[in-house]
Amino acid sequence: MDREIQGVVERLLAGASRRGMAASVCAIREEGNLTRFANNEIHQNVCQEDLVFTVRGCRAGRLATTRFHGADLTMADRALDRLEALVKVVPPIEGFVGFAEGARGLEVSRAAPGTIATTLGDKAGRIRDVHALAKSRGTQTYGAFVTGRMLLHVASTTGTSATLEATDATFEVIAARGARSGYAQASSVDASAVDVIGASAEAVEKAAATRPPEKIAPGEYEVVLAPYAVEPIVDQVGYYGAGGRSHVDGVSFLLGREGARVFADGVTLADDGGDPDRSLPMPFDADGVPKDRAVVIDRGVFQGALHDPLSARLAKSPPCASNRSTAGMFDFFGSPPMATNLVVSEGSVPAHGLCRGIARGLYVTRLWYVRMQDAPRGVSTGMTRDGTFLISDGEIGPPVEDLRYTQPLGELLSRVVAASDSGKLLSPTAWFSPRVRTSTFAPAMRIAGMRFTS
Amino acid sequence: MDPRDVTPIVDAARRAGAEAAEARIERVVHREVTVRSLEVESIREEEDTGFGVSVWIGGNEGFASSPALDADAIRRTVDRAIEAARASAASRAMPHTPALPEVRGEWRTPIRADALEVPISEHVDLLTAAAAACLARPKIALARASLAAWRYERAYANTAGASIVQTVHETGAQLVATAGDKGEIECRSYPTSLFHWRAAGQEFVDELDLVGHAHEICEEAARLLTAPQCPRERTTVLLGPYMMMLQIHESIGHPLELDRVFGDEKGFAGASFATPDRLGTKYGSELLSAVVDPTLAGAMGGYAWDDEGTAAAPRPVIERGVLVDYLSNRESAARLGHAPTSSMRCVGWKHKPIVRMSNLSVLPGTSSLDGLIGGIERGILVEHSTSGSIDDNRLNFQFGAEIARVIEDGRLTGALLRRPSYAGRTPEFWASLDGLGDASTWRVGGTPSCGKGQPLQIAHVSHGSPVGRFRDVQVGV
Repeated sequence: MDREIQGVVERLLAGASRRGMAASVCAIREEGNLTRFANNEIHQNVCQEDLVFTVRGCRAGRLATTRFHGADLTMADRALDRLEALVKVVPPIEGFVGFAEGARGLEVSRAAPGTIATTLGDKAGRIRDVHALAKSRGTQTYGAFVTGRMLLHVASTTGTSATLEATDATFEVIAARGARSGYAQASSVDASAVDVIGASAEAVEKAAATRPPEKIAPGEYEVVLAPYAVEPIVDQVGYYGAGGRSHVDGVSFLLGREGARVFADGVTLADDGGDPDRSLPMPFDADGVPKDRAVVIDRGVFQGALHDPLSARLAKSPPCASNRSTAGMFDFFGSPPMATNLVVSEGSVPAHGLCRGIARGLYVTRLWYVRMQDAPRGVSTGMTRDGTFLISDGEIGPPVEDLRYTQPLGELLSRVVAASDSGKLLSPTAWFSPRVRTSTFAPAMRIAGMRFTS
Repeated sequence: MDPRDVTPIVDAARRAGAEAAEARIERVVHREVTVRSLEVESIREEEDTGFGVSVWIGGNEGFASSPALDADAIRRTVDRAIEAARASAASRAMPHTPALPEVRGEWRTPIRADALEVPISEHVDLLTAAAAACLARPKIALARASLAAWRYERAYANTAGASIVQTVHETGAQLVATAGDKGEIECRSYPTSLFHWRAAGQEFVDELDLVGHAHEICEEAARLLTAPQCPRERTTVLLGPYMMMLQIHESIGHPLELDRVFGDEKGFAGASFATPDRLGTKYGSELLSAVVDPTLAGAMGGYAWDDEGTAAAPRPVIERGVLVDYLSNRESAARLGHAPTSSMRCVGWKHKPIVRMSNLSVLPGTSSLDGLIGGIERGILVEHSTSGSIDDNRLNFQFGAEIARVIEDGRLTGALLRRPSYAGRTPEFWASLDGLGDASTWRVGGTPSCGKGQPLQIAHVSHGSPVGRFRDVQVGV
């Protein structure tokens, strides 16, 4: 355990107790660096470190939060002063029973030596190899290689003590040649296991089509979505469909559908930060409560919303029912409960076989700017990007111009007819601050009808 | 260490061998309160101090940042920045060390009262009263009232001897009423849904009068429950100023960021259809003129110098429909042979500056609101954005809103449409602009949630806009 963090946390918890407050502290120490490249050259190389303490205090149901950066003990004392002043003015929350009792002495390490040992020079050298590959195929590449390490510690006056030490590495690349482009991403806790050349070859191959994209008419098409395109769609299910706040506010399109079939029976979706192969690690939530596998959709049937203790209280559900507690992402101050590690179950079809039998359809590499246009109805919209191809007679054919889809997610995911027998672990390279990496594991999916509107 | 004195960081960079260096120290104090119905959903105060340093070695740039300001942290962070700069040399075609500006000055947002000095109990009481005013109205199932305030103290210095200190105050408040009945749900917000922030003090919160406006949004939210859905058709659309702000943001602001134009953002946020060969050509109708102005009074995201020390001033980017310039920093502007538009910004101490919007405004036209409505035989007035999606080249967009008002025979009929949406392509859409409101319709609004860059930077930006009228627009998508 980091002694500097330990010292500040002990001071905060002891100080809160002296002031008659229960307290919960979330400390995150991060070191990350990101190398960006564009037009086959590196144009940005940044290193960031941070140490941030988020402190929640509670007295007689009066709950407030403060945050500060750095290990300066005078900052810690000032934070306690601020917290005490806040809990004096805030009205009590009816039915709030205090901070959850989290794990005691839980320490999880998912730190890979291969990431810790990776230098900026190593990364730059691997990116130079990517550029050499791209130039040899007449393409330009754009993207980023992110590596980092994090220590996350949650402690409370109720005795919670949970610690995660983790590393992460994500490489993503767009290859472009004229109007043609392709995309690929690779993520792991271990930077040395990230296959940057393999990912780049995948993107370059998609961009190297001999013909420019042709324009096709909007309309309904049978589609095969690559894992990159499945990710933003299921993320919307996790946030808008299953998020606890969406349910208590009455705006979820899955509201009142618990136990009902809402998607095709081939769709199973869980929040599972403990799956070592399918998620970047998140073994406990912001309360320090260990996260079990919380199934959101089981073979098409909605299992229930993801609540934290506050939203569970408003939903009149037992707090942390079925180990569903996911007390918000750590990196957003006061973010609502949501899935942080979505895992979509694989199907039984080899990825290359998903197109088989499609007379005329579309292969979509990626979706972009996916937004919930009408939350209560679950109407989602977004654009295809970086590799959309016509499928003819079961084969992926020439590239086509990008299209916009607009469709209720309930309808779209009820039309899933197959999923690939393998998937990809994906994580956003544009991490928030402080860094707690979320992830989504997704297979490719074949969907009988996706509605493209422009 | 004095958080206004950046010199020790710049000196450390020089000693470590940097050919040039610039550094920023930033201290932020932030308050946020949200009341959900009659319960305080969240209440928090935060302070955040740290520094970031950019160095150039052999013409290659590296950046590093840290929350610690002691000598060890400065040395360690500078070393990391230098390591990053050296690593960049592995794949950099044209290294270049910039000539940094020698500029000195101090600036602060003019305010009457710092919202952060107001007892937080007063903010809790205000928001609770606003939410209670909503809950007393028929069919209102939920009310959420929120308020936030920021104070930034930013200090900048570089190896050329620059020294700038800026203090920025920003605040805003919002009330959202949710009506529910028979399984239907509709929301209305005041003053608006997204662009409700200003560079201002407590006086702006007071002027908003949340409690006094509760009945308006509650009544409309309840009426929307039984209003028809916006039909799918092509029609004339009048965009209210706050709806225009999202349109400006997504289809003028982002596509004119010169780093996007040159491909630097293609790996994440995307590129732009507005390539340099379009300079001097039509971007939209002749009514359209747009200006970048970080100094606009009251505009969130404003400043007197950007984060590389370029002095801010109003600069046109579109004049009478013609594209004349981009949003640029020192490096990208030089590639075009233009002067930078002081658009180099970082979010907090942690991040490297990149090209960003600050305030980008469409200038008012000459038509009154009645005149604009009077010129519509059949159409809708769309207000208060709820969603927005646009492709990575900023061409194909689709936006949603809280409410549309029906216009027939040159007047508002009083009928409402629920959950309106509209879609288009940027050049054709701006070319269809055939009426622009006068100064009486012009509003300034900001948002603290503009995302760009890797690592992601969520910037505060704002727009000024009048009401705009567009012909033959696809709605109800």
